[in-house]
Amino acid sequence: MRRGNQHPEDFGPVLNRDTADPEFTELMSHLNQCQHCREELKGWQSLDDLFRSEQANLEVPPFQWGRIAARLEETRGAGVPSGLRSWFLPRQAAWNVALGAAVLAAVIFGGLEYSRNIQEKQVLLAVTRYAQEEGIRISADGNPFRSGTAAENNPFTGIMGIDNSKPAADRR
Amino acid sequence: MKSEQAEIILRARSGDLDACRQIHEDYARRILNFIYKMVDSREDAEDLTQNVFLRSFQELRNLHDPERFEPWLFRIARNEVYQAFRKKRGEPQKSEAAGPGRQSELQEPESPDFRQTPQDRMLSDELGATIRTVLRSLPPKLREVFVLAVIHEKSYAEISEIVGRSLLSVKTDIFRARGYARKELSQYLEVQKR
Repeated sequence: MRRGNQHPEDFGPVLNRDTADPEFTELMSHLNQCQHCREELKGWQSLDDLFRSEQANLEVPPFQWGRIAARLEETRGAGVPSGLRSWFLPRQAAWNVALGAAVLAAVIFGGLEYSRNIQEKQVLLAVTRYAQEEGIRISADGNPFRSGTAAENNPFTGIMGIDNSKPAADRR
Repeated sequence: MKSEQAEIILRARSGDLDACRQIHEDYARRILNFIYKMVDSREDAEDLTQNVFLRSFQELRNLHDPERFEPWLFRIARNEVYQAFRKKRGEPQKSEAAGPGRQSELQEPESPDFRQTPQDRMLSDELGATIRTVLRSLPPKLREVFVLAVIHEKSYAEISEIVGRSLLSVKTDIFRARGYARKELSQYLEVQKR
């Protein structure tokens, strides 16, 4: 836009009634003094009026809202009361986070439990192998000190209160 | 925007279908005509307008400030238009396809204005077609800001928010588009003066 004593080229802020535009006041004061620019502005206003004329505008088809409403009902799920739906929908993200946290906790807890079981089984397996290698018989509950052979071979038998005077066969 | 309008938007956000209908009633005509001026096809404009409202109602939860609903809605409309342009990329441009058949398709089936003489009507039909031709011949970047400024009377700041471009770029493009349109429609402007 040319300024000073020259005529402005762009009357946009005035045409758009854009009072917030910094050039608006400047343009208005120029227009108050300049007949030539007032005429020029009228030309631009006529142009805008041509484009705003009714003939170039469409009316909204009356069936449009019906179609939109039907599609909205489809996407939102028919049968769910809107009040309930509105209570659930904004909280969906929070529910998802809570559910995710619960699943994660279950996986961690389950994993820990599983690894504890594996460790126990490995210990038991090692004890069994050792017992087999040493020829120690293990009682049904897996305690090598309950079996007679184990008691006989066990250096702590006396100390643990087992009667060594009886034959091992009687004690079984 | 009045706070009453913001209240309707909040109601629509919580799933109130009546509020959605009210919003459609208030904005559909503006959105339809913005899209129509951009795509120059009544059918496409109606379909796209429907999509705009569906999308806006589904995404209302993402609108943080209900007072900024209108620019937000225009932004969705603009995105729909550009998506349609991308889909149609490769197809011949409508401006190239314009011909007598095309012209007749563009005639709006509106009731005739009985105050007009046949000569007036002919001039008015011709003017309508010329206006559409002028809009069609503007590149979309210029067309969108021109339509928003001239037909929808939006401020530069609002247009800048809708199209996501700087204020200066918006101002320059509106000025360029206005200059082009005035040149193309000069004969009609002369007739109006008389």
